[in-house]
Amino acid sequence: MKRISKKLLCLFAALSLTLSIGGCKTTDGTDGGTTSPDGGSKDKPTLKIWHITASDAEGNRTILLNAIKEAEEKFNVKIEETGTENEQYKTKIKSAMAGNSGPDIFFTWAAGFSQPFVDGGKVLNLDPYIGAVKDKLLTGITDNFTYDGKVYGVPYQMQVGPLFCNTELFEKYNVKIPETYEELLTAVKVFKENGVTPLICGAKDVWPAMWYYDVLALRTAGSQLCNDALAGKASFESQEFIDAAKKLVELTEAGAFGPNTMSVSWDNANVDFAQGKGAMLFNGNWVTGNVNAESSAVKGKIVARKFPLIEGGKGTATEYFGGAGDGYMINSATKDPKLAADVLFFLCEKLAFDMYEQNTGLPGWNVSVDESKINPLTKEISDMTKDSTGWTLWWDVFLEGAAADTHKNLVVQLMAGEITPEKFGQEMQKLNAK
Amino acid sequence: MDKVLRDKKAICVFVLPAFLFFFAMVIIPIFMSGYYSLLDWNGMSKGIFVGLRNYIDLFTSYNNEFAKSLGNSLILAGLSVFIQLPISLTLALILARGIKGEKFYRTVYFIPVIISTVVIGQLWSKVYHYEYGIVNMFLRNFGLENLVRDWLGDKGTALICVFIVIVWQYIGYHMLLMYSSAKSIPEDLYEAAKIDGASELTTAFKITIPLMKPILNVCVTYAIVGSLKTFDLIWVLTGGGPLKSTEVPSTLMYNTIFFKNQFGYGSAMALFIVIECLVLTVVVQKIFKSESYL
Repeated sequence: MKRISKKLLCLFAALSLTLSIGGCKTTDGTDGGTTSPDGGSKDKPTLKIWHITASDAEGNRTILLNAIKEAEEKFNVKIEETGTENEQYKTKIKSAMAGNSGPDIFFTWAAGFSQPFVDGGKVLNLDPYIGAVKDKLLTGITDNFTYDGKVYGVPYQMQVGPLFCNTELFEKYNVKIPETYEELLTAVKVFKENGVTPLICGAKDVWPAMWYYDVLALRTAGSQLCNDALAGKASFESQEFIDAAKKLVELTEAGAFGPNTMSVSWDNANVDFAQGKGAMLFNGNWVTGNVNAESSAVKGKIVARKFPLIEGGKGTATEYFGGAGDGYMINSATKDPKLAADVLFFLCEKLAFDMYEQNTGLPGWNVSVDESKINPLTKEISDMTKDSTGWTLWWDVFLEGAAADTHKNLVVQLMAGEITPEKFGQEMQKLNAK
Repeated sequence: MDKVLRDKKAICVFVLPAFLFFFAMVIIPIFMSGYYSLLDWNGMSKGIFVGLRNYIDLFTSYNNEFAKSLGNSLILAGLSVFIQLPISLTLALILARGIKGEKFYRTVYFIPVIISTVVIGQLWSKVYHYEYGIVNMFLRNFGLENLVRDWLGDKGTALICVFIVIVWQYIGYHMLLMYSSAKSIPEDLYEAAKIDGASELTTAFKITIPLMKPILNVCVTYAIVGSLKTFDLIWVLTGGGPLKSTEVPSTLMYNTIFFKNQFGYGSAMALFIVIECLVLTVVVQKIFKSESYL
């Protein structure tokens, strides 16, 4: 009798343990995907939002949290936010959306990056809801979020790549801030002779190198041809793209990117520039945050200029590298699409306003702020782009997954002298042939 | 209690929870990857069944990058077995003979193992740094300026520089395993050897090493399998670059799945790594079994 009861006890203990594990599993499975009404009062709907403004050190985090708080009050909802660091986020959102456990509203990148979400029917078509805010958005700002004529996402900011120049170094070595490619080459030579890295890059992360090729192509081919080629309607083997590749090789051979760019990550390159170690940097307007930071050694010494023009190129001075490259989308599995869309529009407009006012971004919405509060560098960039006649988005966002990866690696191969400009054109064209 | 342990049913019941957990977390994902590897799938939309196409692609397409990465990991496995383990063994044998400061050295050699790989990676990327790295500083100060280079950014040197770090980090790990095994050999064997007039070196080769055979088997297996699936240090130091020269199968797999959205092709790589590790483990076991002495 005693033995049996002992056995039973063991059996029972083991069984309960197994069941409890199984129990955990089932809750895990149903938890994601749909919004669970638990937590908070029962009558309030809950929305989950994922974003990349994860670090408390970022000024944008407070802006986002405030906007969320306001949205909660305005729409009487509970919003659960989760922030994840940029590179990790890319992996996280992809696997979550694939596994149907994504949040209601999520940050994402335009064009190619979100193409799989749209193809897989994972995101909500915003056309039925967007009417109310359409004229508040800058013209054409949702173009990169439009798939098959339908809008799937809304940006809050627009981004642009200016050429940042360190005036202190330009004055010290008596160099003219370049407006043409020839002047750029001269500047590169002078800086190199004096042991200053002429153009900061960060090619370890591959994409910063891609920026230089893409903007050179924008200058030789113009935004129309670039966009056509990216959309598969024109050939990358045309002379303009090969010329751009030749210019990049020429710059590299002139030592424009310094001796060790292949092992410098973007973060380190960014720090180098803020420490005054490089004369010029071509990257996004987000560099301003770093330049204006407390720890920066170049605060107030940086100016933003248009990337130099190339003689004989089709690109004009009013064409820019940039656009709305990121924004927010809504999960197609969300319970109340109307509510999610309203919250989304409110958040994006609020973010556009606050980020512009606090000098951390350029607005993608028509917002009027007290211009005197805007940082001179941000204002300079904002004013510079007012004459825009054409835009080309970062190629790696425009192209999809594997193609983007191939493009970036081809640029680095080009810089390292592994392939010729002609071969580069052929390999790029293979992407279109697929 | 003894009776319970002898009862087959009771064993089943007790093993069940852990087994279920293992099954759900390890076995099922492996089989899922096996299934995904037969698809042309971007991770979101519906996958298209392509049979063994992805496995054929591993060795025929994409500029042979998988074969190259596999070659790199095999070089690392070679370095681990023929450079790392002998160093570990030498250190272990010396320490186990009770030299002065035994505990101190044991701890020092083990430190790299307990430090996070990301920290190690950051540390060494500073060592190799072009401007202020200690390697280049040393070369500059000794007038060897023509040797100064961007160690991790140069296609020719990046691979070996990364491998040096990996090999260095785990010397302490294998040393500790071997050390504890050497320590557990009974002292009277050594006394007998001493009476017979054997030198320290003879003792090491005739007594200590043969008796350490089981642990050497473990070390060799760990070293090989660890090299084949190495990821973290390479990811931190070079990310597979420059120009894919330091790519190993697992970094390539990560890139393929998460940056190129080729879930099917990436899963084929994953499965290949799993099978490769299993096969090599079996081979190592066979070699150690057939060796009558070492």
